[in-house]
Amino acid sequence: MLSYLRRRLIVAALTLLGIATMVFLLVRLLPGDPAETMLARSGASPQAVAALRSELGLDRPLPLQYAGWLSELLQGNLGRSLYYNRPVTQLIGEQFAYTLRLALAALAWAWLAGPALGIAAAYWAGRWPDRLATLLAVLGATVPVFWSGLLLIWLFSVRLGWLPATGAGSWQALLMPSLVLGFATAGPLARIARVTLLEVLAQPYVVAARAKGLTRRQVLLRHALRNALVPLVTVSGLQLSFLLGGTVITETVFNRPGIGRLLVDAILNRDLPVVQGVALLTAGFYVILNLLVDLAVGWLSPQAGWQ
Amino acid sequence: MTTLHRTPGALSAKPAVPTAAGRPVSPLQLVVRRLWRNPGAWLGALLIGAALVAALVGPWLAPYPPDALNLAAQLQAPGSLHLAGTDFYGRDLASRLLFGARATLSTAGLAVSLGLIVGTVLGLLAGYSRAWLGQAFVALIDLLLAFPALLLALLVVALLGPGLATLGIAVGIAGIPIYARLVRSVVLTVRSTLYVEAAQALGAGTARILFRHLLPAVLAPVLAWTTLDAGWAILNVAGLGFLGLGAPPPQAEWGLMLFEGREYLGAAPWTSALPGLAITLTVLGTTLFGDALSDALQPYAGHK
Repeated sequence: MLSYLRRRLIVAALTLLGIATMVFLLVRLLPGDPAETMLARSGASPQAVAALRSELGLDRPLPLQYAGWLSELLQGNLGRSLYYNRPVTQLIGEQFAYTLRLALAALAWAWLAGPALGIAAAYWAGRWPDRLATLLAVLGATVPVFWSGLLLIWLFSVRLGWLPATGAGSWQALLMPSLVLGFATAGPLARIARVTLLEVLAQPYVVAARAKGLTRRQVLLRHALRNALVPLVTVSGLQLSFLLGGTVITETVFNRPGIGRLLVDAILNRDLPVVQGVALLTAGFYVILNLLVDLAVGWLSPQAGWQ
Repeated sequence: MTTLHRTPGALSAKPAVPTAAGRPVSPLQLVVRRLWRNPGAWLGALLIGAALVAALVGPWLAPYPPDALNLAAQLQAPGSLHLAGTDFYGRDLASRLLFGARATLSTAGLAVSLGLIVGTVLGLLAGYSRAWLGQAFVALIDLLLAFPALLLALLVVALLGPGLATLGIAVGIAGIPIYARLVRSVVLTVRSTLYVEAAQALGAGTARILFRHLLPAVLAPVLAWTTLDAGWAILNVAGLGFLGLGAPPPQAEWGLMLFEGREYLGAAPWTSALPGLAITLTVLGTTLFGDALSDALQPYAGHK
């Protein structure tokens, strides 16, 4: 078990290094000189631009920039935003709370609805609850959040006036964006629960449990559900890492602050350190959540890993 | 010699499956028959067909030019003169939806082609090559998969600048690792089968083995994923267009139209509801057909 953990940790660390390298190279390829972009607004002299370039280290050769950047990164320093002239970690820290709240609320909706729908679909396979669950799952995967979000705003804010259309200050403001994202997140959970349960229900040990006199419902809830938990946890881990970095459209629809808006604004402002920071953070979450999911799966099903 | 080189790809017409009536049926016939009996496949094909017709002949069907301003007819509700109403500038929404179909779908088409071709080649190489090259591709694919697809597309747009063409390329690049991983997983199971070993023993070159023997085996799963990916590409193209990173404003593109209509949600909800409906129905079509296709391509899916 310990050797498995060590191996997984080494792989995760190497992946993080690869991601850091890729982000560094990707951002250096961006056209435009950040020092010029930053000072263009104030109409600075070429001397001032050159001074800023050397201050930012942009005049040094690429490998030196890379080494310096990596060592700063290891100390938890993501540099300063060129646009806001504040530490990137501070900016991300401020915005992250909004995105985390939205992502967790969306995942909570998805867990409330998705697995239950999948269980109902598997229990009544081929009958109307199955059809309804399938339809909802398909709609969750197809209806774009920028459309369902606008429809909700139209209904609950414009027509009924019950909920605020934009903002992030209250729980009411969190309701619509989290529902929209949660609906899109629930679909895959329902599908996976249904498919896994149907697979498990065909296994010999389930037949044996039925032969011993357990009812279909008892078998489903006691024996089959635990097996369905493994793929559900796996997918949720991925979904959470994507939600933490991929809520940019929902944040735009509802005019919410957050990591996604920070990134889009940074791209529009050519704010390199912020783009780097957000990309790193998002990919880093993916690696760390993947690691946690693998460990959780090993705990849930002894035969899956941890040898 | 030639018979040995023939591959048992999933869609080639060779191995026969007996049916209840006892007549042998080719796998292709079986797939078509299963699709024919699936109402979801019908509805999906219908929706995809409608969107494609709009994209192909839309500009000739459109009653007005897509950018003709008419300030006397601002924000009119759908009626006999303007079937889908007008937007803030009095532009005919039905015409803009038809022109927008071409912009959105061709951009998504570019994205899908890019992901499909590059991803398949990468996946074939990563799966077949046992040398460092294969390992390097695997590492690259894994790294790319660590970025949410939308974030990856955003970063590429940042690199190349906004616009419909770069948007197509960005969404396509974001799709590459998924194709590559899918193709690689199939190749890994096929590359040690007898027919591939036989081809190697006969002295077939790497390129021949990759494209004559391994490619047919990955065609079926890749085809099913391509259909689903098309819907995903439309969602992302429209989503990035909604963020203002696609077509520049006067142009008609579904995602951008939705964003422009957002301002008039109270006075004219149809200006954003209709482009959203167009996107949703098209993606629904690809999802339904893609699901039906994946089911039909399962070799032992319930013999109905």
